[in-house]
Amino acid sequence: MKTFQVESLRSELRKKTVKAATARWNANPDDVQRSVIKLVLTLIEFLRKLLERQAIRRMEKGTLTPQETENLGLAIMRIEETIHGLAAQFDLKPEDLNLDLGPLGRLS
Amino acid sequence: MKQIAGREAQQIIEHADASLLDIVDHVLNMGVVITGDVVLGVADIDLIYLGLSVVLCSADRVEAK
Amino acid sequence: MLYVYAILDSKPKDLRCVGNAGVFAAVKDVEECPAIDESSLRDHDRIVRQLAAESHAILPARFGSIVEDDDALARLLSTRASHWQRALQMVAGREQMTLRVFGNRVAPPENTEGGPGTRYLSAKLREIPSLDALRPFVRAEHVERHGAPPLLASVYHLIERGRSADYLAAVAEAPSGEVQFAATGPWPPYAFGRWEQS
Repeated sequence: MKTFQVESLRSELRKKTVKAATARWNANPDDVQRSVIKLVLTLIEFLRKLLERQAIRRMEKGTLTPQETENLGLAIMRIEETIHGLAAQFDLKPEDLNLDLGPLGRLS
Repeated sequence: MKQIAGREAQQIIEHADASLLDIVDHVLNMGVVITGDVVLGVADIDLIYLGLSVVLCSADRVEAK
Repeated sequence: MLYVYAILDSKPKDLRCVGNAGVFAAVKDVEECPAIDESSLRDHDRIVRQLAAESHAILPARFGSIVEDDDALARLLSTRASHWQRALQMVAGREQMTLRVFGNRVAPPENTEGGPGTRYLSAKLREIPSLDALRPFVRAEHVERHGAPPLLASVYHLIERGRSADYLAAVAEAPSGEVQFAATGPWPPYAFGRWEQS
C-alpha cells in the first residue's frame, strides 16, 4: 500500500476500533433527552441498515419484482431521510448513530 | 471482555505500520464476540447488563423452510 | 478466567479446550485480560493461525474474549450450538482475503431503470465496483463501506484454502482507473463468525 493509503486505513481504524467490546449507553443527566433520542435513533438506524442490506441482497439475487424493488427502495430511503432529519434536530450527525452491539455487530 | 482500553488501542494505531494496522483491524474489530453484553447506565454508573443472543438471517430463507 | 482464541470443529493439539459434539473452544487460563499492545495483538493472531493450520474449520475470536470459567463457556457454546455448527460449516476448508478499495467517491450510474427508490438501492450497490475477476474465488463476502475517500471500502472474501496466490494475481491484474485495490491474506476467517450469512 502507498503511504496515503496506509494513512487512510489508519484514519478509519481510529474511528472504528476505539469502542468497548461491551456496548455502553450512558444517559447524561444534564442532557437525558438528547441521550435517549440518540439511543432510539441508533437502534432504528441499525435496523434500517439491516433492512437495506437484505433489500440489496434480494435485488441482486433477483427475487424481487421491479415494483417490489421500487417500493422497498423508496421506503428505506424515506426512513433514512426521517432518521437523519430527527437526528439533526438534536444536533446529531449520522456518524453519531453507530453503536457496537457486540454479537449483533456493526453494519458500517 | 468488559472493556477494550480505548487509549491503548489509540496509541498502537497512531504508530503502527501497515502490517500492524491490518492485525489491529482483524483482531480487534473482527472475530466472534463470545459474550455480548450491553450495559445501560446513568451518570457514568453502570446499572444494568443485558446479555444478548440473537439469530439474524434473511426472511426469504426462513419462509422457504 | 479463560481467554478464548477460537471456536473449532475439532480439539486443538496444544491448547486446552472446552466443548463437545463438534464445537470446541481453544482456551488459555489467564489471571487477567492481557493489555492491548503490539506483542499481545501479534501473539493472538499467531496462535489463531497455528490453530487454523491444524484444523479444518475455525472461527477466530476477537482479541480479549474472556469468559469466567469452563462452565460459563460450555453454556455459551451449547446455547448457540446450531449457530456455531452452521458458521463452522461455512468456513470449513476456507480462509479469508482482505481487500481494501481506494479511490474517489464513485458516481452513481446515469442510466438506471425504475423510479427513485430503485435508483437509491442501485446507487448503494454500485458504491463499490464489483471485481468480476474475483467472483470465481469468492464463497462468501462481507463488505464494509467507509466514511470518506480515499478508503472507500474494505471487502472481506472467503476463499478455498490454497487459492490465495491465484486471488492475489487476479487482484493485481484487475484494471485500475478510478479505483485502486490492495489485498492482504490469507487470514484466518476473522470476518465470518459474527453474522448469519444469507
